[in-house]
Amino acid sequence: MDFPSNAAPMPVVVNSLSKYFHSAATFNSFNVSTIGTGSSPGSTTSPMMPFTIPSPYLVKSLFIANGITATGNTDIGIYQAGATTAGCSAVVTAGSVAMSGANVLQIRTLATPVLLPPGSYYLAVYNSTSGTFNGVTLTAVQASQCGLLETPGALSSTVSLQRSTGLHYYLAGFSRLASGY
Amino acid sequence: MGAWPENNAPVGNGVCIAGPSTINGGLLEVAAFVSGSVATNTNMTGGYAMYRQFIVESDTYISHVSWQLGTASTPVTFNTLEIGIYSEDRIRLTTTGSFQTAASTSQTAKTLAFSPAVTLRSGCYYLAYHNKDWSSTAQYANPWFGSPALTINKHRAMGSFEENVGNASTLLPATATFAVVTANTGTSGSPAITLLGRA
Repeated sequence: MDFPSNAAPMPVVVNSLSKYFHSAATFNSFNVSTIGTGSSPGSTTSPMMPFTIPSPYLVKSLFIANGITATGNTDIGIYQAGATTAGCSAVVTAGSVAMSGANVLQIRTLATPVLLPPGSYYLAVYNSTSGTFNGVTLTAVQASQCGLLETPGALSSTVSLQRSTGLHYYLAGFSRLASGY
Repeated sequence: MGAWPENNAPVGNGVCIAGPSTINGGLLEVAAFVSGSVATNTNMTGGYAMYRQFIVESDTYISHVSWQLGTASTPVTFNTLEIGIYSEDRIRLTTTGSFQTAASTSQTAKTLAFSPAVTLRSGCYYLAYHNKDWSSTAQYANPWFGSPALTINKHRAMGSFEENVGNASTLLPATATFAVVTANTGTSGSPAITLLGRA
């Protein structure tokens, strides 16, 4: 017989509006406008969306929903949530590539899958110019209540954290399928 | 030594427990994607099935499925549908089989039995819903009530897939062949479908 598992089940695809992201329920209590076709985070900030997973999850790909303007370079990564805002370390970043395709999910298959232990993380997204992603713009209060943070500039192995000024929240996620979906 | 201890919660029975209408089946995403209540007719290209991921957190007994029919259109006679459950590795676990709904039941709640009833262990599954006859003008075009229309991107981000299964007499396959969501299913809304452990 199989050994019983204590692991809480996880879906194949996890997106930034699912129950694993702290903001998902908060969005609905705020009656935030629906996910739109696009807004740009700008090149000076990268939104960092907090999430918690209850069981180990093997990440084989990351994705971001491109908006109506696909320009510049884009990056996406997962960061370990730290005890302070001084900084946190990347678990994985997909690496900067040209933004490809308007209004599509841009899939970033990882060369080496990454196993996330149970815990809290940030999903971070970046665009180098004015490329847009599907998402919403929050008020400062809403962003704070959602736990939305950001880091100045592009993604790197270690980033500093600050309260969100861009107030952008995007449709992105990760998958245990290499193909993303 | 005795049997391995089980950590699963007791088998559930009798409440609304799984499917697109629950937090474990994409409810939060849909609420963020589109505003409005479950009051919109939704459909897919005839012959297509959509596979929608959901998780079950503890052993859960499933014997029936409930959903709300859409609004009958003219000409109206009936619609042929099928709803099934698949494992994460895409094996069909149970199905309602092919069934017809009469136009006289427009906008009403519909409940049907799965054969066989199943107990889903903790894990990830897919709910399959298949509209078989939309292309026929003799049958009405709105098999489901659901959310306003989503987009291909949003369906993909929710981990959904589609398959061209075929029309009226073709049952959901024993092993699904997942394809990425296209316009055939990707502009449909999220149907109000709930899996139940009771009639």
